[in-house]
Amino acid sequence: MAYRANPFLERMSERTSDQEFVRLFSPKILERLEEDCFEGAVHVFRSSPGGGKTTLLRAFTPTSLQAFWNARRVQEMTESYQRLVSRGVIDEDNGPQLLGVLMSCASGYADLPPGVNGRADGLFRALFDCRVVYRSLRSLATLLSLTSPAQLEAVEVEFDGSECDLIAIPRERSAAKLLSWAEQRERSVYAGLDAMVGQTAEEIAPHVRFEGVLWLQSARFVFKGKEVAPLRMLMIDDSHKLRRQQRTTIVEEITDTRPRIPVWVSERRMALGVQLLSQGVRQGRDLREYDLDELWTSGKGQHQFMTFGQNVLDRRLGAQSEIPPGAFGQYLQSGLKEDDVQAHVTTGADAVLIQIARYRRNSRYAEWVAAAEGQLEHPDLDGIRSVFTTCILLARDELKRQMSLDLAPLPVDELEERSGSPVLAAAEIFLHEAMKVPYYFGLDRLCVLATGNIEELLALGGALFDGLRARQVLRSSDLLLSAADQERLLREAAQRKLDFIPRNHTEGARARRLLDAIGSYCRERTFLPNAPYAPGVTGIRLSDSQRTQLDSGTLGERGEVLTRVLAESVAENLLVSRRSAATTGREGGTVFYLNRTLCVCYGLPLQMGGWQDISAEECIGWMESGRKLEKLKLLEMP
Amino acid sequence: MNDQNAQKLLATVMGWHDTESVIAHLPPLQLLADFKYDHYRRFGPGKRFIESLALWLNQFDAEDRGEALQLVTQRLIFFSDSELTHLVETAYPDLIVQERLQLISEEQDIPSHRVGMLRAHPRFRELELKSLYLGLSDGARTSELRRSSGGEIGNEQIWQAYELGGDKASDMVSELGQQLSAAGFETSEPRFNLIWLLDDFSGSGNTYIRFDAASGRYKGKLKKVYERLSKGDLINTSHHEVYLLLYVATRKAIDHISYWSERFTTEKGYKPLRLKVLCPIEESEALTHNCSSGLRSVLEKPGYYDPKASDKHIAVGGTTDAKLGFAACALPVVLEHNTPNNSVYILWGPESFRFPGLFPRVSRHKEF
Repeated sequence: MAYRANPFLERMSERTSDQEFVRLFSPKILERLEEDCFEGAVHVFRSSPGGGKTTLLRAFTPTSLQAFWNARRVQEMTESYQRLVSRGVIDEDNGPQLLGVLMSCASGYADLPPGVNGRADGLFRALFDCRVVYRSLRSLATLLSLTSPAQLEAVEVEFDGSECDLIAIPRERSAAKLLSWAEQRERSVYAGLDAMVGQTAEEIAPHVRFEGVLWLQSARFVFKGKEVAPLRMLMIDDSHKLRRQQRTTIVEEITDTRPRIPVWVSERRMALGVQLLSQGVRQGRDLREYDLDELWTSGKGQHQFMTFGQNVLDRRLGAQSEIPPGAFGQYLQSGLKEDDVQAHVTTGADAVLIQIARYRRNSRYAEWVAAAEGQLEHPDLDGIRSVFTTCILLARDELKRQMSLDLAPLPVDELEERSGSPVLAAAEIFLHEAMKVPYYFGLDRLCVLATGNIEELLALGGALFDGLRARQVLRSSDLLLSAADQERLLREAAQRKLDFIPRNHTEGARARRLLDAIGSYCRERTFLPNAPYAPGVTGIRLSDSQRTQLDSGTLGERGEVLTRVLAESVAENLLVSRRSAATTGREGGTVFYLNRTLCVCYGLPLQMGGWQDISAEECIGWMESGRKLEKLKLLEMP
Repeated sequence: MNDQNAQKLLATVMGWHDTESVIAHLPPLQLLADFKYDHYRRFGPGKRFIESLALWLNQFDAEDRGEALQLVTQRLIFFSDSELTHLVETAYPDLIVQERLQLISEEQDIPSHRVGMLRAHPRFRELELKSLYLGLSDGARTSELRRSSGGEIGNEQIWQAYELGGDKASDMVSELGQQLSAAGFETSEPRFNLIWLLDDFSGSGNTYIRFDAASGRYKGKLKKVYERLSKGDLINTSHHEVYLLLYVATRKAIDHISYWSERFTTEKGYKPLRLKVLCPIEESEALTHNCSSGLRSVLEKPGYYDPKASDKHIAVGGTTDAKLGFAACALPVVLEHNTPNNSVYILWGPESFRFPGLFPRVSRHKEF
């Protein structure tokens, strides 16, 4: 085929072959998993769509583990293989030891009739249990490389004594017969549901508890006289597709059984609804929750995401043949060259001079102004950046000066002392805003833009890959995307993301208005001449009292809508919520940072830090009516 | 030509110097090429859609290339082989059988919603056997239609041509008699009752029926068919229906055939023709409709035309040149196996002509 789909846009978790999957799988995610993820308990993994939940689960299925084992001598697979060995999932001599049973909640469960009595729950458990048995035995067949289910005749199921608790699942020793039982059981459940007359659902004995997990943890599988798959893990994918009651039932009841094997449950953050805003991750002995988006965006996770992200991008690049494989970063210009920006700098230098000129009259700033003007005589990138820093510091000092009568000129040394990294970072974004010097480029910033979500990273990487392909067609002598090209492509991708929001969310139009308002507000605060919140403001905060107002219903239906919009935006990673602790001067609250990709749409810096308090009322107003975007002019361009 | 080389050639021809233009145009074109256009029967290894597009665009003046490319990306209608196959496969169950059910409903006074009853009626089986299918051209895909009937159309009920010799007709009638006997329908003179005429595409309708003012006579395939049928050796002349089933036809063709066939059959005392079209192409698709001045200029420029295309066959359509295609249909239509000459010349100009089209056509008529 001449048309080749962009390899960065393929959803690996669902559509690729197992061989392709293991080639593309980045083991860096395994480094971030806590050791106790493999302990007996219920582990709930949450993220926004594309956070990597299903990919993580799929890595532990028998077919993937077999593929890792088969590829153990391939150099690019070594790291993945070693990580799995270190977790005990694969034995270096005997191969995969873990029986990972993956079940999706995507089909069938939500169709079960809801009911206020226990019968509906009983049917749900019955269906779940027979599917656990079925999937476990099918997975076992795969692990043992059996070519047909009939070969399960050679597998015996023994029990460790705790199976006496089992009531609904037969203590059948023959794996083949057990498989038949599971198939028949599932048919019976559906036959009962489909029956209009005659057999009713009541004739199927509902299960009073989830026995599937108990069965899986107590069964021993013996094949040709030898025990196989001593380690077990049950993985329940897409639990957000269950009804709320079913989700609660499954997590609570399995937790109550205190499973001896790890039970991984994946769900989208959307499943929590408005509770997402109030609850953090829960950690208990038998129930542990992990938010994958937070995993990658907080603390050292950010740095680790870069390594993870780069690894993923490199692997995707390796999966195609149009662009020579290697490190994806090698194709992205990482720093600005003088030639790239000379035109911007030369044009802007005059405007900066005009701005600096108004401080000439003040003897206090004589040395600073002279230094700046000296740099503007032969402006280069570093020089102009330094001048912007000076402008910010001049504005700051001017504001403070109103409180003081100190007339002594400020030495140039003090300029350097006051030029901390936040101010330098502010100068960079000011430079971008005023002179259109590229800012959103480079591999590191690409990873930051992804906001801890792998699918977002791949979407942005895909846009850059298209740019590389285009450069090839244009017979460019070097296959390197310039900073300007990268910024243009990333801006287009960001705009597409923003434009898609109204179509993709239940409160899409409101969410869009709110995000636009937050964006414009952050811009105003960021580009104040004295950059008081250097490097910039990229989020808003609702204090605890404002949150209480919202949660208590004081603001009525409008408040409820705002809560829903905020919850959905956080669930979809459009806003990143962080707790802000109380200090002596102010109460605590919740900060809502803009998704980093969306920051590109509003010309905001990418560091997370600066935020501003706003009231819930104001927020509601923005959500309902938007906010007028103020046109900023950092410089009067000639 | 190597795919990437073809893309580079296209970028050069179109004067794309920036990545934006390449990203905006190439991926969709390559996708279309892969999905459909590469499969045009006149293309082959070494010369497929993208390179053909580049070479075709290169013939235009630089200022017209954008307009020509826009014609391809925005207005072109390409019927792939699988799409036509899909139409053919729907024809029997969704149209032919439905018509039969409707007939029986009227005949037997059974409500049309009683589908089970209608289907179980012996008349259904009888009419199934007494249906004759004739292809009006090699595009009729009679074998595909027969296969899609699930065995309900026998070999002796369907023929790929409409001009039936005496022997062939006799064989068909004889086989019909045997089939009717086997099914329990006794008849001394077996004859077909339902005649289905099949064809793939009509742009103007002229091929099927037209009135030649010069000679004062009707011409076309339908005339020949009716004259053949009226001999009475194939059909029951007092009790029959004649259908014309076109898989794709323009609204212009539909109107033309409807009007002239009615006049013809009325004048000659024949049973009226029932016209059925699976996929009509509306007037708005013609390039004369909603046409920008730039596109109009491109379509009419003498430099983008070879006067050799203006031959006596084109004249039948009532025009002196073929810039806008036969009968000035101005269609942007391409069929995978050939481009109809109802489409605009710049699409179908033969390879041997001065300005070959993007999808060069092979003519049915011998050219000297």
